[in-house]
Amino acid sequence: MTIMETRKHGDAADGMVGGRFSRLDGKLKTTGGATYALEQPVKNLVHAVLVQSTIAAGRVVAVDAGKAKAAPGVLSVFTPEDDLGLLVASDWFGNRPDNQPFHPLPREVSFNGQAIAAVVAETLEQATEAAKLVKVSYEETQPVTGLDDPNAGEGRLVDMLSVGWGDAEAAYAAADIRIEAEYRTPREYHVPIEPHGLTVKWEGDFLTVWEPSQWTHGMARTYAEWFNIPADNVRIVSPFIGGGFGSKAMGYTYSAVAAAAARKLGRPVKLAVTRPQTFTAYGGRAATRQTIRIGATKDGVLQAIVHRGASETSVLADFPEQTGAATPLLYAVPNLSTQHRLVPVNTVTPGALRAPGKNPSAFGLESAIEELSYAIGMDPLELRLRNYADHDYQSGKPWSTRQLREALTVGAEVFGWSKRSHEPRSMRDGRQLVGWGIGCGTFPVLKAASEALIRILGDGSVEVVSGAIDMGQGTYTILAQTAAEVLGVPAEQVDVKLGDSSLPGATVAGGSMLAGAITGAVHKAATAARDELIGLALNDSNSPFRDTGANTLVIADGRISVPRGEGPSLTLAELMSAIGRDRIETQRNTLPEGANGPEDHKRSWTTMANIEGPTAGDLSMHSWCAHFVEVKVDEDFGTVRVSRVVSAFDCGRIYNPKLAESQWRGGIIMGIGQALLEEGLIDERFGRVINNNMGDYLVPTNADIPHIQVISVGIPDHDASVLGGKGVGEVGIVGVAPAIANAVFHATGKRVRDLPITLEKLI
Amino acid sequence: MSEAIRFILNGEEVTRGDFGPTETLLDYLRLRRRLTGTKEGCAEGDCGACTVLVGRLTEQGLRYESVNACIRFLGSLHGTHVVTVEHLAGRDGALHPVQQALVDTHGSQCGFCTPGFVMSLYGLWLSNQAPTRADIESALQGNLCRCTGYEPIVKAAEQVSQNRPSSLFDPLERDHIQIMAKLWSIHSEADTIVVEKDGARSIVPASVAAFSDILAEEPDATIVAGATDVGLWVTKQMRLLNPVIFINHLTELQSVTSDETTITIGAGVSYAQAFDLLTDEISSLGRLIDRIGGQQVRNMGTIGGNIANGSPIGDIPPPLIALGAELTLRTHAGRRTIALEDYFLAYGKQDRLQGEFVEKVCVPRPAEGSHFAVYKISKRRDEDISALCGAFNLTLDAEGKVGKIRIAFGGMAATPKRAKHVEEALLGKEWSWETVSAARNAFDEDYTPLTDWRATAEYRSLAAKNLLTRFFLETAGAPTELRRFELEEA
Repeated sequence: MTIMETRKHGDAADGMVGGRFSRLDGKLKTTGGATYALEQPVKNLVHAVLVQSTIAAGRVVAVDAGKAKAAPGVLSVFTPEDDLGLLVASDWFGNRPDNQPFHPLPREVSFNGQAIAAVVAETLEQATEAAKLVKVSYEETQPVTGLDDPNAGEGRLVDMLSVGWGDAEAAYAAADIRIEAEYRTPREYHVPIEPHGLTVKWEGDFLTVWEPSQWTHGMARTYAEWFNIPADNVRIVSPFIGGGFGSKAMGYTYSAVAAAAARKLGRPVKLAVTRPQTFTAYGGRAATRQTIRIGATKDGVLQAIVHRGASETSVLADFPEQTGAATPLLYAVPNLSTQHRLVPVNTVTPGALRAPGKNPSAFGLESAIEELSYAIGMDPLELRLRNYADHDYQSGKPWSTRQLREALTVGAEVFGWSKRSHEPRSMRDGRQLVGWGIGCGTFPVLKAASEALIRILGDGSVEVVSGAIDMGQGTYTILAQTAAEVLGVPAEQVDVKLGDSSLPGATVAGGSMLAGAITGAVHKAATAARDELIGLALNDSNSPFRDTGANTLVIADGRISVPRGEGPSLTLAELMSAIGRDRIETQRNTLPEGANGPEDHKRSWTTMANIEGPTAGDLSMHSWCAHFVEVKVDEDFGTVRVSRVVSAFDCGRIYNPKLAESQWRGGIIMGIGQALLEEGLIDERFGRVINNNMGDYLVPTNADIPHIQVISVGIPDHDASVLGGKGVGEVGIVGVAPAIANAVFHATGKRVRDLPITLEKLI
Repeated sequence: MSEAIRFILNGEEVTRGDFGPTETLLDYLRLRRRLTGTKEGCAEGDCGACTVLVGRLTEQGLRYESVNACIRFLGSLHGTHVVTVEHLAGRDGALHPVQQALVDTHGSQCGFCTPGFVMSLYGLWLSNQAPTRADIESALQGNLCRCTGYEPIVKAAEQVSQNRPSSLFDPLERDHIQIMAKLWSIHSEADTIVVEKDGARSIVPASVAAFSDILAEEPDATIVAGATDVGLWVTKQMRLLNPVIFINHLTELQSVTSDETTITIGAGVSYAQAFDLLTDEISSLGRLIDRIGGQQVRNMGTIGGNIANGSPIGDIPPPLIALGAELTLRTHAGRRTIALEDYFLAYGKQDRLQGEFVEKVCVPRPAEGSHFAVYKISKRRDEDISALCGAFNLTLDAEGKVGKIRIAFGGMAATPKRAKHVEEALLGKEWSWETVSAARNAFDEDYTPLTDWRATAEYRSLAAKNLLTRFFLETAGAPTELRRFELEEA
């Protein structure tokens, strides 16, 4: 794609950072050689199967496990009667109540599908059979099944999430043009192709957990706290993760059950969460509703935004899916007020799903902006550019970099936006109505400390070692590129070891923060290794460089030599051999100066407490994007097909366009699923997820996906990260669903404000 | 009688006499053989992460087909060659071109769906030297990827077909003759096989005659052909089935023959075979079959199974009823033939007597000059169950009036059902906009559809009427694509 070639930045010609490298783990993955958590060969293994509640609210009165215990192969049945001896662990931010017992198989039932018993047997079949024999009697109470339940109420205002400036209500009341609408998004699920589960093994007080993990260090902390053992006694191993999207960044109740069972039975335990169980074993994206009021002048200058949103959470814990997360950032508006409420219902606690908050927030705001464009008869692209925010109105700080204008104009040019006729229903292709729409997106730059170890070995090869993970986004590959660039060796000469909490500390692979954090640490450690190597080459008595008089050396293409000069030129292996070293090892972290105590270490990569937000410094730092979407609608049947997508991104410098483009496309197709297909359906009587499988919870297939053209318009942002990137993983989905809803409106004249846009809503 | 099945797994001959009737190929591969390259993503034939190839002898020779190992029972593998992702790379570790293309195009991201995609693409690569874009998309219908956006995977397929080295290492081409010979030798021992484990039996009859005799003795046995539905009884509903009679290997049930008036389809003909054979004959039916499941499901699932199960949303009965098909049921004692529409008695209840099995379906060839179309409407275009499926078979007389009309729908009632009131409203009338507009409301007399998550009752009613209108527009020669607004290529 030519635009990509000419406009992308940081695509260094030398092919290191910025180069289009194929993923290093490609061979393992295409041959079936990549080993995932449930495939670890562990001897003497037994199998645990969960029994989930069949009511949404109430209390377990009794569990009759007699028949199950007597079934062939059964070793034990764990029920709410059993004290597993666990303590409540910290939350993501490191907050923890003192000595509070944790019952992963609780007596109080707070949602349908909650784990309340577990059967352990010699084989999976035996455990599955026996699990069917466990009889649970309940005392049932009336559940609140969702936001629309009459007993749900309007929820609790979350003060922390209220944002405002100016006088939004008054400015709205005084505006010439006023629009108001309510937007809704349903429960959505991650549906990684690899279902969750784990294999656990105890050796004395030492615990090894093979579990897909977006955060080995954070999860190790959780296990250590559950079992009240030192953090170093827990090892989480997760070299490959079959997709996470936010769902694999913490230990869940079933994880605790498996580990506790293994300890009680003195045998390694494997617990595979079945696909249907994945819909309640952890939470997806919470259902949301939001009302947006926009006041503007007749010529489309925004005067006020009043935004009132709510999301559901569980009765156990608060997880706000912030409907106001994108609202203060996208446009210049002199008066704004957003509030968010939390409505507890009988569901599993919702979790982080790709671009939490920003995603539903952008669905509301970007739909509303186009509603305004039709209200005043202005092209929606022009409306967006007219209200372009030249700084962050919320913090008052300048943007670090913001190429959203470029994203909008370049995207429009490539898409052919100027050929659009603004009137709804004015474009057709045969019997099909054609519609074009735009949706913008944003995601903040989050900064976290991490550490990394670099080894230069005697044969001249390089190892990068970190507990960071790669769930497909390409950590293995970009770290090899980073180390290769600094050390002047070919990337093929670099071996990367990841996915193990016993390795140097790394922050979570979430919030698009890992790449920036860990490339920073690798860059620092590799620079130190290079300095050490050059120092040895200049000073070691056996080094051929000792007498050259050079005061520094260069390393390139795997050779070390005197700058611009005659003199020796050695491969790294030759130099290592000459100076008699079999390795040079440097470990560095990116903690702030003076914050290097052990507690700081621990907190920095085992909690999210020290993560810096986008406005922690003097600047406001975010990734941005603009999606241009074409849909074709067959009005006789209400079928929508996304026929074309052009998306332009400002994610700062791109470390590897091949990887980044794929992340963007992946975000976009998830947005297509969200817009047209994905919806957790709840049986109102029992609060049960009905479509808890892949045949009925529909994610996009290849046939649902058109050609997607992605364009980078970013420029390096060295305030955001050492290498200049701002994060690519989350932002791709943000703004896709409203772009589709806007295109559907443009095609049909029907405004769908509740996702997904299914057949019935258009006929 | 023999007590073990025999098949080839990658390069090794396997004999097994110690499995239950519902043990899946996927569990066998992953748990017993530790061939963990084949993944489990859904255990219901939707995601394709468990895709392997199964080679079987057909009249055309050794044919390899992609299948879902998660719903394929071990008992159905007698006399086949099972090929998993571990078999592709060279002994020196060199990647197969299909694998290399996926690496080069970034077709693998998290990697969990990748082995399944490798095998689907490999199946295509083996069977089709120059696949079109449509062939590629068809081959990929049954594989879900949540990471890449699919485009790189399609590119890999294009790349590998364009760049097909002449002296290529390929394990199946290398060993083709030996594998054929081995499979022939397995099939030459024409014994019925019964494998028993813990009192549960898998029965692999030697012939259709043996099958009918066994069924007479075991009238409550579960008959399994493609297992694309029965597989889910086991993996989702955890049902225990005993005994199970496997019939997928009975080539006698897999023939399609046609004469001037009738196409006869054996009950064991897979959707994929039917697609190959029927697309030219009845193109609309071919297009429908292309939207049933994914390629893996079409390779396994059978026309007879789709009918025999009696699902109200099976996609095969509506078009065959509209065509006036007749069903032949057979026992060890004889046969009877009924109109296909009469087979479906009520929800979950079919006119199949004890000891009977579906042998074949005879489909009258659409008359010269007649119009036939079938439409499937579903939330998701591919790999989704129909919200409704409607079929129309129209013959106009010399004056342009409706001489014959048969209309049948799935998803509109508890069984696949004809729209007799609509037919009546059309019969003998001029085939015109006015007639069709007037007949639309007769759908309300024929059907009282339900609301479920696939569609509301109101939607189904309206969409059925709109399908009639769409059928009229198509048959009336009105272009289905009325080009009023021409989009320029952007």
